Amino acid sequence: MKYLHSILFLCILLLSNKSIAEEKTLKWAADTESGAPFAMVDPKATSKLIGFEVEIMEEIASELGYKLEFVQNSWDGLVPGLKNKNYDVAINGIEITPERQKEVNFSRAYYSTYEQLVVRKEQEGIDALADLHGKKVGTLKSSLAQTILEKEGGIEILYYESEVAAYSDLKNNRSDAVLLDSPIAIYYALPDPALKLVGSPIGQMLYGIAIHKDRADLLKSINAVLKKMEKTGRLREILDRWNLWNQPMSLRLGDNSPSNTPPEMYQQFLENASGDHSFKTKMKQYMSFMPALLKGALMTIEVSILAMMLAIATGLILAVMKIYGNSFTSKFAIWYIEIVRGTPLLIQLFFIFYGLPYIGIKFNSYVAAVLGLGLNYGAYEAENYRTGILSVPKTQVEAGFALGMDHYEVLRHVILPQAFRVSLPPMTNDFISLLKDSSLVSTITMVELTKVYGQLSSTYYDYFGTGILVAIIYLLIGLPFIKMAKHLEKKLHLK
Amino acid sequence: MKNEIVKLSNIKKTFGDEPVLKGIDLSFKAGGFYSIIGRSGCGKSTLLRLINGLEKADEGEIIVDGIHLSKTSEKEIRKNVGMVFQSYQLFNHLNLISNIINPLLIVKKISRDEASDLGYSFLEKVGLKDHAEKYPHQLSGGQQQRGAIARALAMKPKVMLYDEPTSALDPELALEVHQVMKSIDHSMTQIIVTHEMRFARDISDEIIFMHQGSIGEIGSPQEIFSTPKLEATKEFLRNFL
Repeated sequence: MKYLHSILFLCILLLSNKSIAEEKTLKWAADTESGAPFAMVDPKATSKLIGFEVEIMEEIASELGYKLEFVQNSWDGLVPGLKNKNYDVAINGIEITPERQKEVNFSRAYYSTYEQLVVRKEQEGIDALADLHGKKVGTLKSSLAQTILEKEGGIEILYYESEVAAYSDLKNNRSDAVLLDSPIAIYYALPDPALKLVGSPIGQMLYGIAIHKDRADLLKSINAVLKKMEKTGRLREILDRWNLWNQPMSLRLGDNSPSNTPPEMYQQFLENASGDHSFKTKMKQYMSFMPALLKGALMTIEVSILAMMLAIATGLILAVMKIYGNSFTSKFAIWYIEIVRGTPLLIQLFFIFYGLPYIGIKFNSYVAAVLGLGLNYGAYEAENYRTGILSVPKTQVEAGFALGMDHYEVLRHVILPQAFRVSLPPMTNDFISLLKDSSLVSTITMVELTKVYGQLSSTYYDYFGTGILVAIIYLLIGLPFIKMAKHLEKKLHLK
Repeated sequence: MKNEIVKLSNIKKTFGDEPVLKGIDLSFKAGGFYSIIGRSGCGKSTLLRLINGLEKADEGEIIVDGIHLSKTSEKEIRKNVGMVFQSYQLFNHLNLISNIINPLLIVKKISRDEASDLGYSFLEKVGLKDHAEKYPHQLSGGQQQRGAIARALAMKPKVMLYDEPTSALDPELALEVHQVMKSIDHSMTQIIVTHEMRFARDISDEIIFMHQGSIGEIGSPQEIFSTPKLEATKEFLRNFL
């Protein structure tokens, strides 16, 4: 009987293994913050993604028999992350340029577009690049539009991280025009009654799927699918659904026929953006945010607590090295503290996640996030503990020695417990600021609270309410730790 | 010499360019009470700190209970030598009883029950049993010093060193501390650095007068206080009595 069980178990194991092996996964990356129409959180179900590139990826996956696995990454990090093989492909309006082609391979272009000039409704006299001289013009950092504006010269360029901010500054008279990719203008400016699209297409660009140089096989099969999608009209169908079919595409594919697919996804987007703003629907919407926000909050808490634990350990070791170590260890501690405190946390995170793989050290994003935050805050904690340790009177230390304790025992039982009382209030402070700094890990593919905020607010065009909601969640996360520290302080000071 | 417990031979010590001890030879008998007196800066505190290894001699040899200090670890030395300082030595983060129990647990590695029994019995000896749960800042200076003595005694050293234990106290509180020191079992050797001449005269078996880093003279209280030989001793005592 037992024998039979074992065989049965083995069979199940083999079968299940086989089915897993059959379902290959394709990891793809994009930035879903301000993601329309490329890849964005579905307003109807925040756990789902929609977008014309999402539909292209779904088509590719089903054609090639892959199961898709999505990896969120900041836009700037998409190509570096691909080089590190954190995912198989990246697709997010990434323009095919010679510089990028040195780093990664590109599929054949799935979309061709241009830069679109946008001005305020009442603005007259701007409809070409030449009209922009002496004007303030907004664009996204490291975009083709930026290069075009710089080449033109004589223009005061304002660099933005998000298109929403660029258009909102234009509306608020902080700039005179915005130059951005046409799909962005169609989605973020065209629906806005205060703005208008002007002039003829500027420049030309091709979007391609970025693929690692080592994956020639994948490049080949993705190209085959894209070609097939062009032929069967599937690509056009997707673009039509999203109101993105344009002159360059019809030239490119030699297809001048009128659209017969309604732009239903575009309509849906507009309805969402300008939809019902009544209190009740808003509240309902916010309730629907909760699962995504809580998931993000949980990630924030998890990363922050682990990073703080690492920071405490690192800080303690560094402080002890600096105070009690020999000249080598104390110099090491001093250099560590100065270098880490003197450079931006963001650069340290990038260095750990994207830089270290060049010398063969590779961490997943979770580990890199905890390491980056923990090692950074360790430097601050070290100085904090050093102050605490030095505040313990010398006679306390000598009394410990005189009782027969060794150096370690004096440190552990006499110095640190007393230093802790001095270091606790700044430590609480540091934890709260770490909690907030943890939002930076969204740049290395982590989806935490601030990233969820970016995704939701840009999907719903609601920066105000969502912002307040997220601020409240941050406060609520920090509160128990502040309370705990207060309680501990009280207890220690009573003594 | 019979029953010799601490012996110093030709001890020299310099701080920077300043010679603090210039070749000290001294021996202390088991069970004796010794007072070291002399002007501030004469090297008496340094001498005391050398005996339990808080300072290292530049030259010379110290033997405690047959063990050469230069050949053993500080931890080993301090098993036999307890020390009480001028002030602020009770651990601030622990209450009085924990101040006694914790070092016993850490250093002697005895059971908590045993340490607790020892702790309370020594607190009783110094008259602080009712204050066991108090923290150092809740105790008077005299109580703190008595607590420190109890803590040192609980480690059961063979030699007790006191470095001006009452100099920070009012006379009334100093008296409490002196009383406690007088009551200590006479099998223990006690060496005190002090400016309290009356106390030194009342209790000491031998008085050591130090002068400018050397031993000035050694004698019974009677000899030192009534018939001092050196001019330096006479002058020092004139200022104090």
